[in-house]
Amino acid sequence: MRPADDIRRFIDKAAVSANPTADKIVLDAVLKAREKAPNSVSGAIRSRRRIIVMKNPMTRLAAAAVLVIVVISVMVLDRSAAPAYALADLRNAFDQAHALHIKGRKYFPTHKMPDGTEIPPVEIDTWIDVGNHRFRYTHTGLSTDSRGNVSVSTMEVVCDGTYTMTINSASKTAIYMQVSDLNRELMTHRLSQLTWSQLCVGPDLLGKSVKVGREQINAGVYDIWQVDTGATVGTAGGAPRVSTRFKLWLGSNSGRLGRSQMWRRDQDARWQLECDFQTIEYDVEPAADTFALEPPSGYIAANTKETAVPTGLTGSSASCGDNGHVWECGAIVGFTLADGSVITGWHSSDRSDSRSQQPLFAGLAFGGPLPKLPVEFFALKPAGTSSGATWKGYHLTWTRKANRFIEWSVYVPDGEPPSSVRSLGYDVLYRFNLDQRPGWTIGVNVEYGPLVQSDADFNKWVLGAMGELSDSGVPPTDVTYQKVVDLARRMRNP
Amino acid sequence: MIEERLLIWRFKRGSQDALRRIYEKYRLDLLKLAVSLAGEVHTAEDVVQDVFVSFAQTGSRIDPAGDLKKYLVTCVANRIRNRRRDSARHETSGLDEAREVICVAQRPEQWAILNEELRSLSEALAQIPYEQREVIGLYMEGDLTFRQIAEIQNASINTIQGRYRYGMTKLRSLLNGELET
Repeated sequence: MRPADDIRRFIDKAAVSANPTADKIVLDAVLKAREKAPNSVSGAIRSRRRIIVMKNPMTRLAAAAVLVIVVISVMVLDRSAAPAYALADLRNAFDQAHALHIKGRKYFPTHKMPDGTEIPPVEIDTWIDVGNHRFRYTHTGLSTDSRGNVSVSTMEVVCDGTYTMTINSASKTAIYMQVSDLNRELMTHRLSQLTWSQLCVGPDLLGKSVKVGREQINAGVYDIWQVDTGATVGTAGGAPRVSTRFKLWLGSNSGRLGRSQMWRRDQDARWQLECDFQTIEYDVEPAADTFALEPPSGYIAANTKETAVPTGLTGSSASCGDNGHVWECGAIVGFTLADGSVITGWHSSDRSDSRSQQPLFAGLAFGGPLPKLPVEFFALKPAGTSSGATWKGYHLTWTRKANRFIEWSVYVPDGEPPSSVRSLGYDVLYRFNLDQRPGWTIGVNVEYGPLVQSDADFNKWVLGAMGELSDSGVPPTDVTYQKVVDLARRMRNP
Repeated sequence: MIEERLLIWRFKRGSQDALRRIYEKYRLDLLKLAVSLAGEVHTAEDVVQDVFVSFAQTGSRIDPAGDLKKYLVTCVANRIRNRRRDSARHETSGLDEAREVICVAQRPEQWAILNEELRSLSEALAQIPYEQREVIGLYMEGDLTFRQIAEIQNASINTIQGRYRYGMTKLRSLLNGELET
């Protein structure tokens, strides 16, 4: 007997029958839908129309001409649809670049000024010097006051490889900050991921894009590719609705991304341009003053490099309160193993409870259950996708920084990780370990962190982060790359 | 096969009787598949009804030489996946709470009546990751090939076969005691 035969027999025996009353109701609804279908032309009428058309010799000739044109069009389209590059290589080229420059505009099509005029776009000019961990990028924010006035604020962040400066357009101030080498590298990694997700779709969707044209930009010829994404909504008869459209200009010979646009569909189903990055350069040498930490003219520096504000590792966090308690929790960093497992440091506490959390960590074993913190991050799911894979968490170790206890866990997937995690990361699945479950829901995201594939990677990223999040500055000695990889393998194949 | 093409041809010519025949021919297979994938009877009923209504409205565009069952099976799978994605956006509870629960209570207006085996199968399938469940459902109940499933899930055939193997191993352990050896 073949291994699947027993299940096959069971599935064959599993059966459903239809309640006759409900069955008739559904069938009537289906038949009625057919009657109301807009292009439900009766066979008799349709065939008569064809006969009339074909009886006229001129019409017959015209129909033949249309057929020829269609055939030629298909041939031309087919020829143009064979690019000299692989779309799948796009991400690799981006990841392997040692410097990136993206310049363009961000629009705000979903909002208008009170007088109905458009909100002026914001200029975006992002530089990432991956090798030297220097960067310059712009955050944008939109706010509306009680009178409906809309204002756009921008915050530019510049890092020269040692210090970081944030330039706030609303307050016209600049603040120097001090970040560790590890944090700077992580920030560079995050910025690369974020930039990519603004520019382009994941490889799954990239494969579904279609070539819609060709254009010459300066001296280069570019193929224009387009792909729609977003939720398909609507039930019976409802047209699928997509919410986002990416248009990508790829060099006809090189396959390099030269321009990218993101469009959003508004409530009236019109496409509105949201981002237009007209300059996308790889490995271009930044000008000497690109990462200069000087406040722009008219801005006030709130401090100096000497008094720069020390900034630690941060991540995604949430808090909620109930009955005099305030629970806070967050995932600080995430790192990715080659098998898709995720190592993260997370915390959870009740701010109104001054007792130490140390007893909650007593007796925990490597690879065992997680500590029963107030909000327990027991598993992860890929963010923004219906993938069925779930990452279950196992305890690795813990550290303590000031009064905060940080749990370090590895989350092992039970299926294939979707490629979307590279852009969207993971959503935390949590449970409250409280006598009374608060009436709150929280949302915490774990980022897609740097890939850890060796002892050296592990020591640099994971132990580096553990050390930073420890009062002593020294990571625990009982966790090694090999132990974690072995644990993940064991949990995947119990 | 010839009978099916004839049905499609008549349906495209506007035959209500052909639509009735298509409905009667496939509704139980689609309901069974939908119950297996959705893990819940009411959702399965809604999805299959939606698929037939949509087919009645727009199905005239179907290729007469196409595989009608594959088309309808794919519609069911896509709709269930979309519903899961929409509901996942609002998912806030943990794994245990989020796991689908089979609704065994029969309402007067309930359309699909499950036998014991299908209830057990749905309960077991609801406990394995959705992508693995979808592969098993489409392969065993939808009669799709691994290649066709790979197109639907936008994954390689090796990945699909891996999901099938993982899923079958879990399914066997979950159905332990109910399988004939």
